[in-house]
Amino acid sequence: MALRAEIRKKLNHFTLDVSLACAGGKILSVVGPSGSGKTTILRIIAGLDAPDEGIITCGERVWVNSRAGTFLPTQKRRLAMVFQDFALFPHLSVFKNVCFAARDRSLAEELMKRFGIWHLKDTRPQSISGGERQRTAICQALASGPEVLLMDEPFSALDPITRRKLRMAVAEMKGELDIPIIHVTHDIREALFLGDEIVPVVSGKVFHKWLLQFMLTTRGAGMCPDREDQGDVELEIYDTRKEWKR
Amino acid sequence: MRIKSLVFIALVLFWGIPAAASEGKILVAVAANYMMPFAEIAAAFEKEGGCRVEPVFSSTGKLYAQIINHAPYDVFLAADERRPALLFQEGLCEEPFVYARGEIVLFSGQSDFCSRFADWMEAVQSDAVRKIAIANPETAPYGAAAVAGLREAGLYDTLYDKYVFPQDIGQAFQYATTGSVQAGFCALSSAMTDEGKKGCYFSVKQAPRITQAACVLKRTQNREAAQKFAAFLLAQDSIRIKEKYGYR
Amino acid sequence: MDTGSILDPLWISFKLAAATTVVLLAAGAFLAYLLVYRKVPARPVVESLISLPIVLPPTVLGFYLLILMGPKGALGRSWEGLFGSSLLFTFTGIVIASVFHSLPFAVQPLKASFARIDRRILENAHVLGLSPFKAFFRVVVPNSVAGFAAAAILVFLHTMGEFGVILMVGGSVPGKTKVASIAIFEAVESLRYRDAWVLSLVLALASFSFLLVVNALNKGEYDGLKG
Repeated sequence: MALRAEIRKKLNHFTLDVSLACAGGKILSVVGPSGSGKTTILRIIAGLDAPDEGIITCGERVWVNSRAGTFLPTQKRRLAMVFQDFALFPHLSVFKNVCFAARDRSLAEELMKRFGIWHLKDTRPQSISGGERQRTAICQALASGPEVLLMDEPFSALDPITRRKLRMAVAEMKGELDIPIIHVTHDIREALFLGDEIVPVVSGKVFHKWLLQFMLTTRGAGMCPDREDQGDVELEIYDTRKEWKR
Repeated sequence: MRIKSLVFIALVLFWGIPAAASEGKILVAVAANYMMPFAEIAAAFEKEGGCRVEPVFSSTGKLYAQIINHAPYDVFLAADERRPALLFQEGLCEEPFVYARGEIVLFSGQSDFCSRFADWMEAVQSDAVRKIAIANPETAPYGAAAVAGLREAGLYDTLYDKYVFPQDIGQAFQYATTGSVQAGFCALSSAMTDEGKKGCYFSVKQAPRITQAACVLKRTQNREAAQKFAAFLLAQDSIRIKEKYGYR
Repeated sequence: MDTGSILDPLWISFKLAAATTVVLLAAGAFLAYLLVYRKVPARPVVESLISLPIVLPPTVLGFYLLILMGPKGALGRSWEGLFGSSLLFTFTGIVIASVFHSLPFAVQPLKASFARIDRRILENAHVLGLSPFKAFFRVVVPNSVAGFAAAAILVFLHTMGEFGVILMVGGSVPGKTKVASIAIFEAVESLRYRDAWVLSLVLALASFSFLLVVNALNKGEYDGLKG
């Protein structure tokens, strides 16, 4: 099953205009500097925002067709989303958070054991670390048995070691899940590591030349997926873009 | 208890009316039922060369509570004999005298109401009359008279479910004119106002007349003027005015 | 001293406050939900109308309700059409009047508490397949316990002490609409100071102990929610 999205929406400083497709079992990484409209793309796919124009389909099902006036509400799209900075339910324990939309509890338990958070099952999400919360959020999303998984900067708030561990875990999961996964990040190394396909987005447009330019710079060329021990590279991306424009 | 209402009651009870009686002016506490004739009587008194008369209208019970807490009134016109007598016993006023006898009627805001029944007893027992207003008999002498009338007619207990007890005779009249109740026991004087003429009334023979007594309060700073006004309440002019409003 | 004249009004006040609280927690939550999460046409007008009972003298509100619930009023007429009985001077009537009178005391704390909830956890609930209706009960309500508690205390106590509105529409029917505050007023007026003392004391103590219990519970609630 594949997810296809053609989206156009006027934002404050530019018009978002992208076209994406992601097959089952694959990860599509949308990468770009902050404020480029990446998160809006995810929110539109999730149905939390509406596009001005566009078509979104998931397999045979039409989620959005602006011409026909179709708009399937979020709760009927059977997707899951890992929010940036987590959106866990503060009134529920970690286990109940994971079970929130789970088909069965044994799946929730299995996932929690796999992500190493089973020992936290009775704790409230407010009293666990950022990495544990993010694992909880991923378990919660996967336990709901989604047909599409969306991840918005899932690892950006974490320390490098936790980040690396979680990336590995998600990469492992992808083959088993066999669903389209759309992943949004400002970190190009993360995109290179996780993405089967990478869509660079700048100011609301797909901008392959920018990625190419980035890859060609010495800094960028040195960024191998398995050598991710340095800090954030967002600033670098930004500078490269400016050079390109010049 | 609402703080606002508590403060309000405290203010009214203990500080009473802000403007104390001063030179050439008397402050008169008047039972609400006597509002209409009083305005005319006061005007006539002033025209005959008396001093200025400022009325404060309220229920007899409320005014009484203010007076025993030293409200600065000069004369008290009650709706009964009991409270002036109590004040006299406590040495707060000079000897009371009767200034008017009132009458209660069964009043309805519907002008065709009275043509549908033979008398008030048939009316109150009818299914068409679902609610009857009686001024709170504990505080309003007119309400007590209505209850006495109903008892005399042997109807008080059987009609108990129909009763509504507004705080004073004025509110009883208001319920009847707005149609909130089909009928209410009101003062004849209310039924004779312009608003009252839009409805109709039955007289209630079984109910006692309400003897209304007045007295000059001992606390007055203006004893001479107060006594002069008290005497004027029984003068020919005053009698003519009160009879116009159904008092005797 | 007649114990019925003391206990009846207190019991009616309590029943009235409890009924009003139950009705207003539901109605207030619905209104607060619309105001926080939905596009409401003429929002300033709606919000001002809801807040009006705070600033309006109770007698003014009572007068409007007397007309509205009377036999000529829209509410009174439709009620009579539906149930064949009048609304004024009944227990149901004073419950309806109290609901209007205490409406802002339910809506304001609930609105504030709904608005404090992180939008993203609601979005997450929708993403995980919950309709807005289910999300309200599974996410909004459990995260607004303090707001519901505050609304319940305010409405309950405000109704216990209600006077002006009930004076207008209640008719002081013993055993039905004669609430404690009105019984106190009447006791003072008819010089039954002892009754007034007893009633006032019981009312004050009841309100105080209620506040005490709720404050103690509320403290635990906050500790429980703190992260």
